[in-house]
Amino acid sequence: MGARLWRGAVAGLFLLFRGLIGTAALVVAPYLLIIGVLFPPATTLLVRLAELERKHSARYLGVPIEPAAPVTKRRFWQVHKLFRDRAAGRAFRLLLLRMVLGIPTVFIGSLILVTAPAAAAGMVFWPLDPGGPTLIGVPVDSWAIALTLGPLQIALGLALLGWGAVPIARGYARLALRMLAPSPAELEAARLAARVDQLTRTRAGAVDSHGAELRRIERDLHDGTQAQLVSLAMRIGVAKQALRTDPERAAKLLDDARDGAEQAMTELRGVLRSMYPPILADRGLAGAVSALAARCPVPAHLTTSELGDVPAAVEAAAYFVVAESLTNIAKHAAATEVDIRMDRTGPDLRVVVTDNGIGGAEIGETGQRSTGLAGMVHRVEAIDGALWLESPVGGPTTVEVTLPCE
Amino acid sequence: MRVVVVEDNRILAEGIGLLLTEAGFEVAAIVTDADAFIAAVEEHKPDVTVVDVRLPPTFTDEGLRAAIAVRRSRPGQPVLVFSQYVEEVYAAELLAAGSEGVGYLLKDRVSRVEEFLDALRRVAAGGTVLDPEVVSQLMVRRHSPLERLTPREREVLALMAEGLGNAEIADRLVVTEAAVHKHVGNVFAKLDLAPGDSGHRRVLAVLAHLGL
Repeated sequence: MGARLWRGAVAGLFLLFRGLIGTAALVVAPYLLIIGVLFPPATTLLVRLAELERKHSARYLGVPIEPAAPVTKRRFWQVHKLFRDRAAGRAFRLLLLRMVLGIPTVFIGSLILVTAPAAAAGMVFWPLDPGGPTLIGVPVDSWAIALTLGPLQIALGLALLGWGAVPIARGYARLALRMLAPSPAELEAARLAARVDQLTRTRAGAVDSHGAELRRIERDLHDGTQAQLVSLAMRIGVAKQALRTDPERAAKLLDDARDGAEQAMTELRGVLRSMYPPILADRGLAGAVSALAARCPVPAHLTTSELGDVPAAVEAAAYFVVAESLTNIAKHAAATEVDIRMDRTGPDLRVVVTDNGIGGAEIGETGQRSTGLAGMVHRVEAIDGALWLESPVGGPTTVEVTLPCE
Repeated sequence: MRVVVVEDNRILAEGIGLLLTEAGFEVAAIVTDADAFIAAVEEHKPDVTVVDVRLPPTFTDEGLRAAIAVRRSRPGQPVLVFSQYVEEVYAAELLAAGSEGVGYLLKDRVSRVEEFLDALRRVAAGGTVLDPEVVSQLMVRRHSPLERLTPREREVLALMAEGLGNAEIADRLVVTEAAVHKHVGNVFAKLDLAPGDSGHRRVLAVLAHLGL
């Protein structure tokens, strides 16, 4: 019983408070509305107030609400935007409702809270002001009236408090929520807008990293392969000239030329491998990683599930992450076992490399203890992925990488 | 000696054909895909074939698979597989189908004409030839036991893995054959390998030790 009454009191306070706001709005709103048409911050304020109402109503009902649709930004002369702004429209309508219902709500709220106590007071203290206090509308000027109507009003008041207040308050709150909830279409539009923002940002990042990669390849080919081919052509040219006069020298030069050609071939193979390892093209990601595992000095075990369609850039990144991790493990970890796991969790490709070595790896080490982890992070972030490193001293070490495929 | 060449790049194919003809080989056929390869081997019964790993239609590892298929249907058919890049996994697959008369070389080695021809002759004679780069990949992997070897012994081990005999190793390292024999003995002792094997079985033993 006590809990019931308490809930009723809370409901009464809720209604009273909201009613007071509504009444205040009645006074202030006309000005705000006029200003609001021309002065965007005023409309923003109104929308925010409406949102506050919605939050409080939701909190009262104990209902979770989705975040509000964002306020449309506009300049003060763009009045037409105001009329199209549905959030603003809803806010105004709610405000109107509050204004209309304000005074009645105050009345009801007060009634809920006050009926029983007032009856009790009137019943007891009426002699101080005979005919003043009323019980159910009847002025009290005799103990008879006091003692019959008093308890009656108290009962009514308690009933109202216990059984009437809560439904009324809930109905009021639900009305507010219904009026203020953004339509599903609006929510979808807001979600799409946010997604477009995110995609624009990540696309800019991807274009940047693509550019950096192209520049690196151009540099490698220009400084390495092209320079060697030029030197090669020169040596062949000189050899040709020496052919008649000094055949031995010509033969030596041609030998040098061939050495140079082989060096160029080796470097070119290196560049190609760093761009996109050929085995990745031939055997796919699972096959290429299994070759890496087979090649690792430390026994490595690969578990992989169906990976679906994985873009080439993601495959390359995953391959390089595993390759670099295995190199680190062989160099630094003193491990006896490596576990490689690859799977597809929704839109992401997940690669986890765990070893039972001595741990203590850190991203960004250089020199002797260089682990190339910083480069891995860079490569992974360039395609919008994420890398986690867990490497307590004493091990075990885990490198986990998540790469979005869509 | 009769050779069948399988290579889809026309320039390279013609170059190899020329090289082989100049060296006295009889180029029975130059074909450009796996099916034609299998047919040509049936038709010409060559002493050795030279196959590119990457062939149409998918340009992944058709050549490798065709080489393995040919060796299954004609066991012992000498095949020299060459590729733009070497992968330990491919070497393992090739050797799993029998190691007599098998070679796996990087395409770039073709530029070292004498060595290429030598490798071809060794494969035709039933030996095993592995590209030095595959061997070095293997040696990197098995780092710790190899630490017991001296640098010279490691060199000898690598050359053995590539398929060279003692005389050839002596030539390559510019030492006497006796010195090579001594190094080989040391290597086998330090790695706990049964001595006394020679030729193609020795290569197998070495490769097995290196984990292929």
